Amino acid sequence: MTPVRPMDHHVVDPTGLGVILTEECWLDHITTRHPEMHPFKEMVLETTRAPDAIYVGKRDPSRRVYARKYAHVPGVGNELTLLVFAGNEDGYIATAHFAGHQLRSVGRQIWPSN
Amino acid sequence: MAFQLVQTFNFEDAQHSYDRAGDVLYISFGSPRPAVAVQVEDWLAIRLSNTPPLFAGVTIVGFKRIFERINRYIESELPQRIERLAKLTLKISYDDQTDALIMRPDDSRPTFSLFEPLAPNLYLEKTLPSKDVVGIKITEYTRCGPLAFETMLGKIIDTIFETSSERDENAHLLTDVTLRTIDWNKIAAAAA
Repeated sequence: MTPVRPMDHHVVDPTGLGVILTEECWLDHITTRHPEMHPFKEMVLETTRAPDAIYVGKRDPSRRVYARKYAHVPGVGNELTLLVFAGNEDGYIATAHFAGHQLRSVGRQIWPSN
Repeated sequence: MAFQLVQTFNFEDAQHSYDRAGDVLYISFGSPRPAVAVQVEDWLAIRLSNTPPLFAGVTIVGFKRIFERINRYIESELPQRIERLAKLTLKISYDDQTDALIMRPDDSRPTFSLFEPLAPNLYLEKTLPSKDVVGIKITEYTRCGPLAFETMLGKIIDTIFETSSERDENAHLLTDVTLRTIDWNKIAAAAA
């Protein structure tokens, strides 16, 4: 895994897990392959810091999925859910994108607890 | 009056990028474009653009873990049957009089076929007498189309992942046909 460096972004999620967004991940993967994400780094960090819900992945329980709904995302659309995928133990963000529809469950909700 | 829509999927235009540290496979049809995802499950996002062509790409999170599951399915269910189809043309026909949508590979023109139910409003078209799957039909498309697509994806995913559940022969056939269209050598190289 990429070492944590000062230029990387660190936030703490509501469960106390430290979440890390590296510059490599943001520039080389997320914004390159999901170009609509380019202006929304702060939203990605906000979604991990203050999500609507956190899930453990249904098919890949080594992941947690942070979800936060946005009424308006300039240039992308309305009523979109930002999904951020991070390691369930190391907290490294793997990818992020906006979803307009969710067909099936992404996993078991771990926060807020029911 | 009936009308017809034809969508061509050319897998040679597919570009992929694998993020080894994050274990994420990004596939785009052409260069990556802005899109919004339909999140199927935690691991699979289908990216749709608001400008044609509609399908912008697919993102698979936890690719190695997921590929292992799919590969296990292939090994157990499709020995010697995986072949590369570099180019698949899918013809999608909608008849507004019957409100039915049929999807078939463009080169598939069965002389005799029958439709077997897969789920409510969702049918597999099979040739006679060999019973090869050559198409998918959705009835009451205006009302049930999105749900039928969701059901179809769900059947494929459950066939791969829920191996302990009761065997659904038509779901297996649909999954086999879907997986046969993938270039597994390319996928395996990406995961290596």
